[in-house]
Amino acid sequence: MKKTSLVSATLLSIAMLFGFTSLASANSTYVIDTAGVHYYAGFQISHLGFSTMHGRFDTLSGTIKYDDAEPINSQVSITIKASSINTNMAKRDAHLKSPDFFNVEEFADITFVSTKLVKTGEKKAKMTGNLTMMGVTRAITLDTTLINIGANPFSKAPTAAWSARGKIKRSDFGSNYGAPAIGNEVTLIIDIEALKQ
Amino acid sequence: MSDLLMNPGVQSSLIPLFSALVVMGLIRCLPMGAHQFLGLSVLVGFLVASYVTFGLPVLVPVASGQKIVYIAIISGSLGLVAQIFLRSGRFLLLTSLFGIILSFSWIGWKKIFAPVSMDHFGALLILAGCGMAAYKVLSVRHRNVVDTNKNDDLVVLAIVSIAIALNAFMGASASIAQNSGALAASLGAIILSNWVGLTVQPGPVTRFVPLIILPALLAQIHYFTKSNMWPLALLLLAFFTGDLAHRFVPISVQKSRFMRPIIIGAINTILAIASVAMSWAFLPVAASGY
Repeated sequence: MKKTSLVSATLLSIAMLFGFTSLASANSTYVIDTAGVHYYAGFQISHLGFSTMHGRFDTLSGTIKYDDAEPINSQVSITIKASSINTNMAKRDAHLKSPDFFNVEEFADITFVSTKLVKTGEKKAKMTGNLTMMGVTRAITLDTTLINIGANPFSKAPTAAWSARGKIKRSDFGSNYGAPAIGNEVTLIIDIEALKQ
Repeated sequence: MSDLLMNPGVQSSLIPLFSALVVMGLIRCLPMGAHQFLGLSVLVGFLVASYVTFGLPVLVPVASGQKIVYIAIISGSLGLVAQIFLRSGRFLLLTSLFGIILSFSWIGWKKIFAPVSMDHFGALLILAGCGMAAYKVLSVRHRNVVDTNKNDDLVVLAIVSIAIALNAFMGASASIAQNSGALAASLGAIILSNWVGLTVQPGPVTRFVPLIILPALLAQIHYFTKSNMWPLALLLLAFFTGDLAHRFVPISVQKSRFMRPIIIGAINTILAIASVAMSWAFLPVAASGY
């Protein structure tokens, strides 16, 4: 009987300890709403100096460790499946997946991990982070905006949404093929909606 | 002019061909002793095409495509060392086999260490074929006595390179296609020279460069494109076409400096067409090039 009480007390202590830790932390973890596909990771690039070609990646996942008290301390981590590239033309997508460009068989994932946020407005910040693409990691800076944070009006689930915009040079990631006819500068457009865990 | 340099077709054909011809011309101006290095024209032609197509090589190559230029330099260096120091046929073969395994493995190491799949079978098939090609190209025992200019192997390597280029293009990779095309065009300079009578005896450099670059390109196609391995395997039969010509073509025709490359080229072209047709049949439409 005594032994059972001791075990119960220990378990209770552990549970309380975890509970306390959770309460003490200002971090909330948000996970990108992949089930509802409430995200968009797109890009724009010059096509032979004529039109601007638009494309997107259809599969991504990620988390945002959101610091409720000091949002500037938040951290973002996103993984994009390179093979999910979609430019609305199967043959062009096959070319973009080949070693000429994203080389998806060799480098399956594109990842971004934030390292620093600098506030630039009430809901705006410059987010610096490491983008790894085609096996090369480079620091890039994105202009981010917190669109909204609060309860989803229908599901009541705590939800947050951000947008990020930025430009990179693909040559920085070792992608030179077809340049400069196919532009070197790539505009990134990322919009995500994430659910609090 | 810059438009011309940016044309992928020109980048992978005329530029390496003329670069190789210019290098050959320059080496021919040097004393006779330097003529043994005429094969360097293949390497230079390939490197110039690579520079025009991809720019300067990155210092630390990460992607398979970035490694090709380094593999070319390694192959040329191995060939030079072999040319200067090692003349034994067995040593040439062993050195080239080392180069073949090195280049294939460096390109495909990520996939080589992946769980066992049909990819591994394909890789073994391609490596065995490349090893066999090296044996045929480097082994003195297999040298065809009628091939006085030792030109057969270069014709075969050039046609195989063109077929690989077409296979790569079908697999949606223009960069691999351009590299293969550039290799064929660089070899074309020596073939052309031999054809018109300015004989170049292909030494280790001439043979090592294509023998070691091709496995790297094949590894790229095999591992990183949607191309099928069987059309590539079919191409390796090309190294036996010299024997075929020897058996079925009249000896007088075979001895003709003008006709022999045409016959060897024609037989290999049939194989190349079969390989490309097979590749086209295997590929899903969505995976093919434009």
